[in-house]
Amino acid sequence: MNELQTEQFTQSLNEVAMTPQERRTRRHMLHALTLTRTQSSPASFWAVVRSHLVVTALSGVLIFIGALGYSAHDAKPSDMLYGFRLAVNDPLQVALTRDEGARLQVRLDQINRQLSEETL
Amino acid sequence: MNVSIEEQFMSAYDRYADPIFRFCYAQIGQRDVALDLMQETFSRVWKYLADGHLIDEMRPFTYRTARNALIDYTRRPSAQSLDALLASGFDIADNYGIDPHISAQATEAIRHISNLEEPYREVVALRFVDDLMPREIAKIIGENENTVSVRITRGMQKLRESMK
Repeated sequence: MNELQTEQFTQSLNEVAMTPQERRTRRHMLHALTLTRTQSSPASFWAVVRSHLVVTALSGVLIFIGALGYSAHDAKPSDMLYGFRLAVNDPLQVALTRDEGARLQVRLDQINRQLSEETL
Repeated sequence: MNVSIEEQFMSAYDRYADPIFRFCYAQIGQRDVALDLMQETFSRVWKYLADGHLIDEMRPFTYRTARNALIDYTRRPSAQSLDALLASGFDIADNYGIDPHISAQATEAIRHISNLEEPYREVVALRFVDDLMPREIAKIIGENENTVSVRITRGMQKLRESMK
């Protein structure tokens, strides 16, 4: 088989292909396979561990912040958590108050409290 | 750029489905079986990805998977050994008819490759259907490059003889 014959042989082999419909049908079937993974597939062991660690870490952070907030509730100017009370507790208390009038009252009470604590 | 494994997989299908189909067809000589083997190949590639494994080089991995699927197919009790059939004088084209989707020349080319004995059929199919170099073929079949080059040369000689 000379070079030309080899080229012709290769060209004729390259004609061997799926029809567009065959390609589409098989592609569709394989794509459906990938969709079952997103719905319910056994994730790899390390993916499961990782997701559990992330959830646990996030929960820990939230619990820690909650504990800080609770501890800072009655913090005085001389306490370590006073800054936390001013930066987090007080704004959060205002944000969680639904009524606008009530929100203003809460803020006024906070300012009065702060003034009386800092002048003592 | 983060590409999801679904995108990676479908991209691999778009790129390698036809060469894999050609590779299977060249070895088996039956269109329907080649289609099923191609699909089985990509199903296995997907399973590998979905199990959390990484694939560095998709092309040789896909060919290796196709090769394994072919081996599994020929080992099935229901599938007759192609080599045994050929040894008994069985001619693929005469018995499986003409594929209406490809030309007579392509059918003839498939017939000649399918009729080659192993280990030449596989390396000649890889060399011709996707223009793979001996180095790449060696990576796919797990042999060294020199062995592959020798097999290609001998396979081509046998092919020439069969085409006379």
